[in-house]
Parts: sequence; structure tokens; C-alpha cells
Amino acid sequence: MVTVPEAVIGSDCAYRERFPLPGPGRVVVSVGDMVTPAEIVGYVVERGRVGAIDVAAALRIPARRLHEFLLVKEGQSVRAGELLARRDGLLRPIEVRAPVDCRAMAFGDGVVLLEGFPSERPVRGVVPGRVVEVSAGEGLTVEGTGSLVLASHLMGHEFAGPVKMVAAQPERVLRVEHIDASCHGAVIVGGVGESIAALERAGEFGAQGVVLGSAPGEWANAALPVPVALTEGFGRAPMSRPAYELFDEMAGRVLYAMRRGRRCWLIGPHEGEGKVIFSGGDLATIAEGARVRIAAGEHTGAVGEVTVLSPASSEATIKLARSLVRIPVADCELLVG
Amino acid sequence: MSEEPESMCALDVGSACVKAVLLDRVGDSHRFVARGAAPQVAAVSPFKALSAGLLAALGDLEDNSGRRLRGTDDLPITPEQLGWGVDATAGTVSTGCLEVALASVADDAAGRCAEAALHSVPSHLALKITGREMRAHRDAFERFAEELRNHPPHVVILVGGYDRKPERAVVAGADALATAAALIRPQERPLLVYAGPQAFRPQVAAIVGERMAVHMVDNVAPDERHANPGPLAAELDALCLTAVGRDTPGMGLVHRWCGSAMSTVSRALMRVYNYPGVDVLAAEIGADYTVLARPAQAKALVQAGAGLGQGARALLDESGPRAIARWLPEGLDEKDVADWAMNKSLRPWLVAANPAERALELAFARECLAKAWRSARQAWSDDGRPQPTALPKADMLVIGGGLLARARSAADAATLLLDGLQPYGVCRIAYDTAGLGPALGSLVDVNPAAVRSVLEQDAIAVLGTVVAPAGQGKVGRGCLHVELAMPEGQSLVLDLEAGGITRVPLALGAKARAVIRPARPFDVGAGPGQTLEISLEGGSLGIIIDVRGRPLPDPESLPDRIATLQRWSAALQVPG
Repeated sequence: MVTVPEAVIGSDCAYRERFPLPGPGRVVVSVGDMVTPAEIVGYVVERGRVGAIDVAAALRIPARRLHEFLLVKEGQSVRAGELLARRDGLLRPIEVRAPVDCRAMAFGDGVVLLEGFPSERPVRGVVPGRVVEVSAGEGLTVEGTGSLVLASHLMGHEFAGPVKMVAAQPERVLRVEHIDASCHGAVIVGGVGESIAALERAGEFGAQGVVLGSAPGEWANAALPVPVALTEGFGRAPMSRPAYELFDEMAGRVLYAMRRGRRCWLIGPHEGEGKVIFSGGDLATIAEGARVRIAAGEHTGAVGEVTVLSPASSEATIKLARSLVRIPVADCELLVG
Repeated sequence: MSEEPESMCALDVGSACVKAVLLDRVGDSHRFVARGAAPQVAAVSPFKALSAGLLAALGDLEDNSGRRLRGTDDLPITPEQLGWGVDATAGTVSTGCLEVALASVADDAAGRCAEAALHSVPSHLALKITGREMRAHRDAFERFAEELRNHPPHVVILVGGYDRKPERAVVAGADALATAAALIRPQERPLLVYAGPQAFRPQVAAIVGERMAVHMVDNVAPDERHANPGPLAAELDALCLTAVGRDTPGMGLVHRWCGSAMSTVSRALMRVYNYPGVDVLAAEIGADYTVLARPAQAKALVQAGAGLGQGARALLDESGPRAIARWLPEGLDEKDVADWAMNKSLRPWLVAANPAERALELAFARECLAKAWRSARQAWSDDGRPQPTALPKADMLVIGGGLLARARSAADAATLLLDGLQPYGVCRIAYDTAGLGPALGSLVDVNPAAVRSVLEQDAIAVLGTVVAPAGQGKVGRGCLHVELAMPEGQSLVLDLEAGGITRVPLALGAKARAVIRPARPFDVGAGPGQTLEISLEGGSLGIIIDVRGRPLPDPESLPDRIATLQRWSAALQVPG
């Protein structure tokens, strides 16, 4: 048994994702609702800023005597200007007041810790599909079907738009001249990233994002003009041909790019049987005859068939379109879809 | 059946791969029987369970060994029954790290010792505040309290003050921490580890106890002269296993498999290389971090952001591409360095597929070791202050990690040790050929004799003895005069010029008597220019005399970098 990760590239996938809220909050959709990544599905509580008032110093008392002079209780809401503590002075009382509307959260070491009132932050980013389960205050589960590519990485924010193919071949470098006004509002699918100038042009024409096979590693730390999803990884690897062909089929249809951990899910939702069950990229066992994608070395992105599997040497011989290559098994991914 | 377990399964649950190894009695000693491995997809997919990689690795081991290890519930079959299962299981876990906030009453030895203790476990110092900042109750304290609330760490450490002259400031610090902790939701509140003056333990417990669980350990700085990071380090090591990843899906199954014999990698290395009378410095290059362990001195160091998987990107960001590219052969440059590091952070389980990727892997590994040693110089000093000139000097250096288990030649391992750690003087060098070190370390308490047997017979390959003088001299100038009395009776006299590496074949187990006369200012351990008479032991590479200088000249400063690197490689017969 040789175990490798799955490489999911499927035109008819069924997916189901449990989406927990990123903190305490509420879900605002119901079972049966259709949702997309752009929709607000819930709100989480965002707690207010913290402020500290050194009441003991202000009242000129030892820290241990703080409680004797406090006029509020832990957790109590106060308005701006409301008294927090007071001590009788020689001529007039010394008073400490709340600087803003807030709650007095904790007292200790002579200090009163204040917290601004909480606000709500909307939650988006679920997979496109139908809500099948809601756990009040915790999260929801969404199911859907569609074309799906488990991509390597997403740089920048999540994006969505109709697919616009600009690469005639998966190994073609994305250049400025490939991008024109027809890319406005679209997700551009190119081959290989090389120059940020092409991304700048994509940004100028209002593209939503770019999907490439690979791109230079230094892009990872750069401020990119448009978000970029990579199907293979960093370097000069061409886009895997099955992925390229799937995007070609999807031309004009909406594609969603969503970050999941270090990976990126590229989903083009559509009605279907959901022949391939996708659960986020599992481990799978491979044997001779399996179709695999190569994930490292000069053949990165190439797809072929395992002809020889040598567990003893941890190597596999892969039959590609024009050659046989021998690579470490650890560099193979089972092609699913 | 004897009282000690006969058959054992050890797991190494890493952040790139999960490995499972089977040890059993073969004849009259214990031997390594088989291994299983699987990628750790949970490392890149947040909702994947750790159990997926664990079960896949166990399945692989079952296939390779022909022995069923799991029951229908996926739990271990123990003890061994009719050839099924094993007598004992154990393992190391190196996924995730301990998130820590440190409150130090003053910016003094106690704070430095606490940071040294943190360096001995996989940890991330997320927040730090001093007593002065706490007492001021201003911006720094507000930010600290807010960060503590928004991102509660696993542990808050409170230190400060000596046992003989305890200062009450640490009690006020405890009060401030308890106040800040009130902002955190009760179920998310961290544990407080108090490593300050013992006299104030009752007060600290009384102040903080209502809001945070408190663990007491010995003072990290009991007096002005002594540092005592050991007890705090031991406590943090234990917390790593209980606190880190406790909510990660599948961690429960990992705990069930490892049972009470679960260990961190650093602790496992400290146990497995603990040879009485021998000062071993062991290095393990992992996916996320690099570990240095020196059991004879009870010192360990975990260098976060220095690995060959997820740690490669952090290493690149911190050291910069030039620090890595300077070791690369012709045809590879800084762009390749960035691409490789990024790809390894996305798929940490990948294995070098060609000589170019191999060269990149070795270049990153050198920097991992160098960075770890730079940190060790500070963390291992007696007072927590850096020792800028210290070079590693030990009886034996051992290197391990997934990269070394795949090493195509012993020379790769020697290259890493010589370039990365830069040992000086005379020391033996070895490497872990099967990547068994951490797994065996977790089994030391289970059956120490079996572990020793497997380590010596199946894991460690002795490369030979290195002679490396400290000091630097002009290339081509006389550096070392060596007279060797070889075991067959012949004599060998070498006059070596600075700048190169020379190898003298000497078989494993054989010994040669050496008289080593360094020219000033070179020093082989007896002092600058002082003669050293010593017995040298052989290995697969024999005696390696490295007169390139210590510290090693920066390859980038060499007049003909590529040719020099090739010459150094050829001297150790590195392929490619």
C-alpha cells in the first residue's frame, strides 16, 4: 500500500463542507437556502478595544485598596463621563470617570480594564451550494455540485467571475498582450506567470483574478495587483493539462476561488450527479495503472500512468505522453476526477 | 515472555509526514523490522484529521511487515498476540507549537533564562511584557491585554526576582496578569506557569488562581550568578504534549497510540543520544524546525522557522535568499531558492526529484543548522548572553532528519555537518541513515536495551573523525602538519595548506594515532599553535581534515565560488 495525496480535477464533483463561524456569533441563513461565497451567512461578535485606567494612581491610593473606592461592578456598562471611582479629597472629591461608552471588565493591580462595546462582523466565504444543516451560533454545512480543481495556493483575496481563457496552451507564459478589455470582470486563466506587468494589465482592465499553473516564488511576498491562484505551485511548471482542459470547458461560467488552509478550491458550480465525492483532498492509495500528477521536479504538473511501483526504493515509474520517468513516490498525487 | 516488551511500534507524527516503525527481537538482539510512511495532509488542509496520516502510515507498515497492528477500532493490538500487534507503542509528535506569553518583572537574567527555556521546546513567543510596562498601565499593557484576549496563548509565563532577595513586583505582575486574563473567555484562558521566587508562590496562586490554572516551577534565576532554565523547560515540554493540538481532529487517536510514552522530538533526542561519558551533539532537521540536543549538558534547542517543509519559507524570509543561494552550484539562483521554499511550504512531504532540487535541499539544510547553532550559542550560555565566537565542540556530532534518511551518500551528511555546524577540534561524526532517532527516543523508557541495539545496528552510520582547526589563514599558507600512524603500521605525513578538505581513508572500527601540529593562529583544541596527540577513529569516510578555517569563510566572499564549492564537494565525494 503506497499512500499519496489526491489531486482533484473533476467536471462533476459533489462537495460538502462544514463551515464553522470563526468565533461566537449567529448564523443568518436557513436549511435549504442557496448560498455563494460572496453572501453573508452569519455574523461574529467583535469585541471592543481595551483601555486601562490606573485608578489607584489617580486617587492616590495603594493598589490593594482599589475596591474600596470603586462605584462600578465587574461587567457593568458605563456611559462616557460616568463615575468609575471616587475618593474624598481635602478640598473636593477626586473622581475617575469613564472616557467613552464601555464596560468595566476587570479590576486588579489598581487598574480598571475597560472594553468598548462589541460590534458584529459579517461572515462570508462558504462554498457555493445549498445549506443542509445549521448549528445555531456555531456554523453551517453546505453541499453542492460542480466542476472542481484542488489548486495549490491562492495569493491575495478570494475572487469569483466568469472564466476567460487567454492561454492557447497550458505552458504558455501570461503576457501583457494577452489581456484586453474582454477580461473586465473575468477570471483570467493563463498558463505560466512570469511578469507582474501582466497582472497590472489585468488589474487595469478590471479582472477579478488570475488562475495560473505556476508563478515565481517572489510573488508570494509581493503586493499583487490582482489575486492569483496557482494550480501547480511556484516555478515555471505549466498548468496540468486536465486542469487546463477543464477550465477551457468552463469558459464563460462563473468560477469561485476560495482559500482553504494553504490550498485553494476552484469551484464552478453547476447541476450534476456529483460522480466524484470531494472532501477537501484526502489521502489515497496508488497501484500500478493509477493515473497520477507529478508534483515536483522538471515534470511538475505532468499527468501519467504508474507502470512500475517499487515500495522498496520508494520510487515509481510514470508513463507520460512521450516518455517514461522515474520519480520518488512521495512526489506523486493520485488524479481524481 | 520477559518483562520488557519484545515487539514495539514507534510513531513519528511530524508536520510533513507520519512515520511508523516496527522493532522486534531478531536472534539475540533487537532490530529494525519495517517502516511505514504517509504524507501529513492535515498540515496544509485545516479541517483534515491527523488520524488520516497516522492510519495510512500504519497501513503501510502492516503491508511492509506482514503484521496486523490495528484492531477493528483502529487502536493498537497490545500486547502481541499470536503474531498480531506489538507489546508496546510510543511516539513523538511535532505538529504545531506552544503559543506563549512572557511576563518578566525586569529585563534581566530571569527573562533571558525564560526565553532560553522556551528555545528548548517548539514554541512561539507571541507576547512579551515587562514589569515596567505592566506597572505603567499604559499603551503597552492595554495592547498586551487586548492581544491576550484576542489570541489567547496556551501558556503565560511569569518570572522575575531572585529567591534570596525576592521583590514584590512579581506579585503585582501576577495581579496585572490576572486582571488581563479576566477579559478572556473562561474556556480559552491560558495556564500560568510561575517560575519566580518561591517565597511568593502562595500569593501568586491566591491572586491568579480564580482566573487561570497555575503551575509552579523552580525559579529560572534563583540568584545573581545562576541560571536554572531546566525545570521551566521540562514543564513546557510536558505542556507541548497536552496543550498543543488538543483540539486538532485526530489528536485523540495519536494519544491513544502513543500512550504514556509520548514525547517531543527534542526530549526523544535527549534520551536516545544519552551515552554516558560521551558528549554527543545531535541535530535533527525537520519540516517545521531544527532540533539540537546535547544530552551530556542537558541542553536542547528547537529552532523554529528552520526546516525543510513549512519552515523553509520562514528560513528564507529571515535569512534571505543569498544566505542559501551561496551554497548552490552553477545554474541555480535566488529565484530557484524562492520557488523551492514556497513549494515545500505547500507540499512539505515532497522529496527532491532531481540533482537541482537535491542541491537546494542541502543548501537550506546547511542554513537550518547554522541558524540553530546561532540560537544555541545564546540559549545555552550560562547567563543567557550570546557567545559570539563559540563553535561546536563535542565528542561526536550526529545528524538526522528525513533528508538524511534519503541521503544518497555519506558525503552529503558530512557536507551538512561540516558546512552547517562547523565543528572545530577533533570530533567523530555520524548520521541517522534511517531517520529512526526520534522514534527510538520515544521508546527509551520502554526498552532501553532494545533501543540501543537498533540505534547502533540499524540507524547510525559512523562517517569518521573530523579534524578542523579553529582560526583563519590565507588560502595556500601552511596550516597543519599531521603525522598519522595507521593501523597497518605505515606512517603518513601531511602538510596541509589552509583552504581545503583532505580525506584519509580509515575503515570503521580502525584507529590511527595522530600528532597534529597547527601553525599559529590555528587551534585544534589544545590552544593556538599547540600540538595535539590523539587517537582518531575511522568510518565510511575515514579521517576528514578540514582546514578551510573556522568560522568557515562565506562562500560568497570566495574569489571563485563555484570552483571552490566543487573542490570541497569533490574532497568528500559528493555526487552531482
